[in-house]
Amino acid sequence: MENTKIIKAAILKNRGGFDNASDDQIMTIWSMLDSDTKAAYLDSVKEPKGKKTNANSDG
Amino acid sequence: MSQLTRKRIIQIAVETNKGTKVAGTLLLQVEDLDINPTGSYEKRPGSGKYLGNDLPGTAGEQSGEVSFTTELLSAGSAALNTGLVALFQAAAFKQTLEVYTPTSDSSVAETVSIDVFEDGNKKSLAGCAGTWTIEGDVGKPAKIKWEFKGVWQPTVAAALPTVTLISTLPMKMTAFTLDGDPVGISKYALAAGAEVAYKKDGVATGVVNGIVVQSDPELSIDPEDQLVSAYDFDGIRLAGTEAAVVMTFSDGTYTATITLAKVNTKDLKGADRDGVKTYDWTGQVNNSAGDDAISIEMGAAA
Repeated sequence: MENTKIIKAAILKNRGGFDNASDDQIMTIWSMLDSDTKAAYLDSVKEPKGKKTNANSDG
Repeated sequence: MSQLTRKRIIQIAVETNKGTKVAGTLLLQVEDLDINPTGSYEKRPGSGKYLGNDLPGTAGEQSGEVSFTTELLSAGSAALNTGLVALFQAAAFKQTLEVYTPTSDSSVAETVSIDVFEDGNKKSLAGCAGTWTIEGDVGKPAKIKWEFKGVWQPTVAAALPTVTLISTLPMKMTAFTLDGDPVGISKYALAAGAEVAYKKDGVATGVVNGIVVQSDPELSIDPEDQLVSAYDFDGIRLAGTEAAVVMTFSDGTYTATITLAKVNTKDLKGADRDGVKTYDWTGQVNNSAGDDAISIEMGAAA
């Protein structure tokens, strides 16, 4: 099961107005979402594969 | 002589002893003024020999109600109009400098005497406690609807008193934010939702004064709908998330800022405003840390 931190980030990225919501409130709305929406939200906060965080993209 | 409905004046005063009538001294400039006795009518049994009523009935407890609408006015300074101060105090709000907040302490809540002069007669209530709703359309003056319960006084003959016109400009809304953002409202209504009961005692009137015994403040607005990613009205309703509301009013010189620290969605219905998708939104106004569900703060305009 996804951890609360990731779920919170996913909700905050995709749904406005939850900045001051408690973890319980975040989990309440998360539990109501269908699996496709959950997957899309989690994808939206995933780091792209192979991303080199310290790389200089200027080449 | 015909008495004219236009010719009526209302004056109020805070009572030193709750329920003990004092003469009204603070003028209120009002519309939709209505004052009536609400006591019961007590039938008497009569002998029982005949059908019908052998004896006249008698008046029961001497309760009464008054309702009216005022503007939201400053005192011509960074302070609230003195008549409104008295009304808020009788609606179980306490004054701390120029900040007004609810009080759960019945010894702090005041009562007012209310005199209504009606073109030659005077109707009065003593020991009044009540509630209010501030409402309006954006761009227009804010109005406060007041409803008070008190002890009915016998109507007496009295000429309209001398008054000094209050020429302070009315306040209107200049900003509204929900959770820190403007949400495109066209109208608003904030109800203090005070429930007023009568304090009773073994006295001829039966009732001594009104007393606020509970409150259920509520905010109604008509915000524009938004994308879920911008503001998730429905998700916030489902999760029970609270948000702060700030309503700012100004007369051009002085301001009144109403802050609701925590409001959560009670009711959400889709609506239409001239072709724009909106909600009829109702929120329950909650305490954050004690008696702080509503704060009204007067100040000078920035």
